[in-house]
Amino acid sequence: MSAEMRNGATLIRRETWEKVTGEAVFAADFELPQHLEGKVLRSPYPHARIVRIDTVKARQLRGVHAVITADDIPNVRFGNGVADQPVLARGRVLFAGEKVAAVAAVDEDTALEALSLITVEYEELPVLADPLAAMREGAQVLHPERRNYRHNRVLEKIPGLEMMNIGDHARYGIGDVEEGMAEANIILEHTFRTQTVHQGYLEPHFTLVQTGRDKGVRVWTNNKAPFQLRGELAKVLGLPVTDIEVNYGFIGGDFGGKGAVMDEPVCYYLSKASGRPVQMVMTAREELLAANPRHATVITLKSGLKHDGRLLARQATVVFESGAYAGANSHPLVGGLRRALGAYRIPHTLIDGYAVYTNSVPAGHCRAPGDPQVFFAVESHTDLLAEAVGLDPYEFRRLNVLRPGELSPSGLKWAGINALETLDLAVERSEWGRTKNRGEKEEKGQKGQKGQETTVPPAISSDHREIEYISGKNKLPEANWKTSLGTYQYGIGMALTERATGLGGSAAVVAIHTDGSATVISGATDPGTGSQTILRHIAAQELGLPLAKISFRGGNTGMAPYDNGSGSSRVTHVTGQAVRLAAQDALNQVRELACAQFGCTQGELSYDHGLFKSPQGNSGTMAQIMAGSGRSKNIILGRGGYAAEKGESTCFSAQVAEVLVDTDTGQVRVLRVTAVNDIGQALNPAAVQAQVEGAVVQGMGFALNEELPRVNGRPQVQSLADYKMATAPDAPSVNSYLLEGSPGPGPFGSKAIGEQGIAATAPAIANAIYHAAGVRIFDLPITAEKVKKALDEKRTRKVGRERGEEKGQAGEKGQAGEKAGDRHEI
Amino acid sequence: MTGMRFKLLEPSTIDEALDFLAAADVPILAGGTDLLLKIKRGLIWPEAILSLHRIPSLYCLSYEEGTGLSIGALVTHVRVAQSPIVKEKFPALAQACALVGSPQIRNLGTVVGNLANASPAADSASALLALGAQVIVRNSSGVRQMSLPDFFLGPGKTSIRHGEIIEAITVPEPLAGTASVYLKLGRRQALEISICAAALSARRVQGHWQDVKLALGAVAPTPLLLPETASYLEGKEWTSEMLEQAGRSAAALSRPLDDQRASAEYRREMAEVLVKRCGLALIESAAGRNAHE
Ligand SMILES: Cc1cc2nc3c(=O)[nH]c(=O)nc-3n(C[C@H](O)[C@H](O)[C@H](O)COP(=O)(O)OP(=O)(O)OC[C@H]3O[C@@H](n4cnc5c(N)ncnc54)[C@H](O)[C@@H]3O)c2cc1C
Repeated sequence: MSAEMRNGATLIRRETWEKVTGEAVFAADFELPQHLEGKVLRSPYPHARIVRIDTVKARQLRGVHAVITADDIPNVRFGNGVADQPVLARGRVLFAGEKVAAVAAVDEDTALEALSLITVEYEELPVLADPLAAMREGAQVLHPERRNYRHNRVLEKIPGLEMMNIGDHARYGIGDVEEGMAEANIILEHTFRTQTVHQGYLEPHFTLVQTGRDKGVRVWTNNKAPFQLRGELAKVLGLPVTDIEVNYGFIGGDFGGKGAVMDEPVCYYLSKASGRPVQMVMTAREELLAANPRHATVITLKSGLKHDGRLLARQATVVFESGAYAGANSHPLVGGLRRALGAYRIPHTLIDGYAVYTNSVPAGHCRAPGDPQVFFAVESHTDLLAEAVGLDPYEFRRLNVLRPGELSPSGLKWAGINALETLDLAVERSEWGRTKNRGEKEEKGQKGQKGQETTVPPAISSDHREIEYISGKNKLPEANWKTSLGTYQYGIGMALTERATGLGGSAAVVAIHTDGSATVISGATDPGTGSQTILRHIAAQELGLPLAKISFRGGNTGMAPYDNGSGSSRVTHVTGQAVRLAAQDALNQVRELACAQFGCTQGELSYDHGLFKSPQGNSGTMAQIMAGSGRSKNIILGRGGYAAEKGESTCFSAQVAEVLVDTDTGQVRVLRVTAVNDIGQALNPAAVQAQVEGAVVQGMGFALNEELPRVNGRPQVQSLADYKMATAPDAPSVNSYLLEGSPGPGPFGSKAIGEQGIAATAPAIANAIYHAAGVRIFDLPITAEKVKKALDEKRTRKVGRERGEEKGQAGEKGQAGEKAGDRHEI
Repeated sequence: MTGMRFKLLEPSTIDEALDFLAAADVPILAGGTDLLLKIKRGLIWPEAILSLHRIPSLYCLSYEEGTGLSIGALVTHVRVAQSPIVKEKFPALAQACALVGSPQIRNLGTVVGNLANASPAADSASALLALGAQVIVRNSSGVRQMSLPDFFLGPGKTSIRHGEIIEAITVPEPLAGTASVYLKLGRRQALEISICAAALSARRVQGHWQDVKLALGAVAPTPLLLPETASYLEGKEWTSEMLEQAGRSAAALSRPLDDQRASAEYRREMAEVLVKRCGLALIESAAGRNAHE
């Protein structure tokens, strides 16, 4: 590894200039002559039978080249995991926003006018709006034909499930959970709910499809997994993959939302029907209504503990609301399911995961699919358990946290478990470590907390290195800051999470040019993360060349080698390793040339600081060697292929959040988040820090404000004005620490950061709110209104208590507090 | 873009503008931050739009001692929010304008447009109500003037008739010792339409508060002036309990709705909180002023 990397130098992204000046090419910048604008008519009803569609008037409108409904196209379904999505609704619509008809016209106005001329007669059907209701036996089945869908794993596993709305089910664990519960002194159960949220990318989905005379299909899109898209289109359209070429440019934000097949099939059929290229751009309203947001969940956690706080058993029931279709996911049960047990040592565990169809927008992948949901539940639950056994939340976590060599609660064996160090560093670097008397707060009324000393954590071991980055003012008002206007309670909370480095397969080519510069050719897309820079950097490191000498090419599936997409925190790891191997291969070929020129053997040849040297005293740079070899010899193409199927380590993440709760209004202000990430090795620290900051702000939005609410299946938010993503003034100060030293599977021992920084934020905030104001919110988002209501209820209870009306405390093996007890049977 | 094809009329005097309006009922364009949205959303399909931008007199933001403030129809939020004289003499208005949307919106959006759009949540509206502002309207027969409570009729409805243009808003010179404040509550710190807002203006005379004016935003079909609550506070030396009582009175007079942003119940509770806090803020500012003198 070079000094440049060891020093953690900031790598300047080559595309920054292009992006700032507007030169960078995004999908919507592609244009084809004679293209038509496509628009779709969407269902206003969450569940309805389509009685009749009349398109006659639309077809007659001047400038309209094609109008299609399900009757005009083959009966195909698509999807990444389960192919359950129709191109256009056939007979029934399953969510408000589903495509019912499509038009292609000379311009957008004409296309919209054509839509307004289409009449659809619907017969409304009862709406399955709640996943728990939808999974009950006897509920109306939304996908009765599921048996015929492609890739349906479930049906083989659990017979009879096709008669229900459970799209997938999984059950696993370790030990014997019943035995564990029987040995427990205390058993607590809590149910949490999380909401549907949008990924929040700025650039809307764009698709342009050209169907040629020669049967070939050319697609321009901002899909971040173009090779997967190509594969799925080939299956849906019944074409060989070589007949489909997917082109892409930079992607204007993804956060998981750009990996699903979106408008490509409908554009294809419009293009077929019109004989012209057809392009479609989703509006912001369509993005909120019908893209592929984060799954809403209902999560029940039940844990058994010893009096001293040791965890013995945990049972998790996780219901992911798939919505109308699960096709946007590579697997209907998203990866977060496995993490519903937390990062603790628990000998007896059991997870039950369900993916449930309802009449709502189909859910998809969103930054760390499943993790923010399950960790909000697990880490809120953890604080509740700590309180029940009279331990400080930090002490309780230290007691139970997974240590090196231990089996994860879902049965995985990881190398280099770094959880304790991650947690300790978060405490040490945050206010938590400085405020000894964290428990000293009136109104807490809990044993064991008052004035308790927090153990000062041990120093970080010497083989670990940390990188500090502080953004924002990092200034805090004093605890329980009082102004004349109101009372603001200060609170601090923590959370510990874990997510592995992503897996998958990738191939790469590294070409060395005659001037000694090099090009990385890869099929990995760059959704704004700087992946091109990191891939160039990895090649530069292997080739011993400066970053500026390395260029990047990709752009279409016809030319670039296979890559399975920029998702699940895998590009630096998987594509990076492929690039590294390709660079090694290329370098080796140049070494051969040098040996031939110098008349020495590979063993004798040295290469250092860009200079090849032989023992005989010959030397030459990469450029000289390339130039000195004849035309037929100096064609250097290094090849690399890499596949990772099983993860052997994970990345831990701990956050401490500090909040102020305005106890009159219930408003929460997040002041500061201290985030520690177990990064292995930061290849480009500035880019890593950017991922951490973005994740914290996105995690805060998920915690406090963002929501796509529905009333009986009808979407209530259809404009970005009502979708409350955090703005710059809402952002907290983010103090980020990267913990290096526990190597991961990526190049140079790197781990991952794209998704790892998000899941701890919501529970850390929820726990801080509890610390500040004594109210525990079990369902996200934690709006001011919910906090206010909980505060009012608490005050009423307190008055009741003071009057001596309080009933007996919840006993051992009993239920937790009144709200927490909302138990449900499945 | 759909519906975005229209004729742009650009008169260079108010009389010329009035002539256009007499000829056809076309919408008036100031900053366009409300109007263009309506067109984009397909709520209106105008064939022509009357832009005021070439009328120089409408850019005027002026203050005359003893008379007060005049805000021309093209004066943007940012100009009002940053004006030293507004900050000093009409702090509630400066605070309200500074809280509108985002920098981009404040650079384009006008105070007059904010009032004319007649949203119950319009930030400048409740501040201007509490400051006793008047609307100056021009039509073919001359000028008419009305107070704000007469101007707002309902959500999106004002007493402006076809063929009329708002020329300016005037705010009377505050009497000596007057202080004012505007507080806004929303789900985030910027780009936020109020869940509830309150503006309070009053002057302190020998320890007592006089000429009290209180207004609430986002809790009724129009921005709401509350003379009943104000008269309860009139002539008294305010205590915390009194302000709480005023809050309850204001909350009882409000008529909020449930919507996506908040429930009616929460809005009513917040009206109570904000009224009390406005009172406390005035007490604090008076204390600050005394300490200063
Ligand atoms: C993203 C965003 C955020 C926003 N945030 C806020 C906020 O936080 N608080 C808030 O209060 N508002 C907010 N708004 C609304 C809007 O910006 C304000 O109401 C603004 O003051 C409107 O002024 P304008 O000059 O843009 O009005 P325009 O859109 O030009 O006009 C608004 C209306 O007034 C009429 N009109 C304008 N001038 C005259 C005149 N001289 N005579 C008669 N009629 C006239 C127009 O015909 C139109 O009906 C926001 C808007 C957007 C798009």
